[in-house]
Amino acid sequence: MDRDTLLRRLMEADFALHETVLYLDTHPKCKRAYENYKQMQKAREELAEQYRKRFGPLTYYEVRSTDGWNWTDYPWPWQN
Amino acid sequence: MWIYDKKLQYPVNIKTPNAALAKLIISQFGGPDGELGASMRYLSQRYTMPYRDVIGILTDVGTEELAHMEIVCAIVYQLTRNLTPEQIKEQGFDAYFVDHTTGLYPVAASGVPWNAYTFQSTGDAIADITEDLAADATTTKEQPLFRGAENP
Repeated sequence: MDRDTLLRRLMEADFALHETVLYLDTHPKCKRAYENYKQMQKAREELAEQYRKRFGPLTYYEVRSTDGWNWTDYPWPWQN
Repeated sequence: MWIYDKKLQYPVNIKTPNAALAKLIISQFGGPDGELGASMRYLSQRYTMPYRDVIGILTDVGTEELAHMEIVCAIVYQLTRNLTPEQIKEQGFDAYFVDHTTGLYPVAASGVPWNAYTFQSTGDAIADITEDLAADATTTKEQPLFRGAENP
């Protein structure tokens, strides 16, 4: 999967997760939504891990580069 | 995009409410040199910066200013908890209270609501960074005001 495709998958997973979070915030007892959340949480983390390994950190908590600080590397999200 | 960390960057545990002090400290939220303006300044300027390291630091400092804003709001919130109507009047908090009760509203100590006119984003790297230096220097001017208020 190329960078753009993987990034799009991650954006979709994050969006789906986020909307489920909004629902759960006002429906914390909904078991179906919470099951859904757990599935999406896992899917999201797998995509994020793939992305980090191949294209660098998504947040500054995840910098693991062996050749120095790569957090500020191009591209920034608005540059395409 | 952004995500929220459910913690303060530095703890706030105020034991004695003090609305008079809250009236001054709220300027660090919505005043001309407050954290909201600081955050918006850096986060607005970063797009046109021609260097990746400057984009990086504006992003990270702009994000940190939001964390500072949360600390300031926590301070104001705790300083204005459990006040009696008498205390609200005596401590000069009545004018704020009539408009916002104890809700957090981004406003200067002088009563002027937060305004984007308090900062600039020019698209010129040198102009913007110089403005950032000027803005950052304003943090030193508030310190004497709050001396003695370290452990309220």
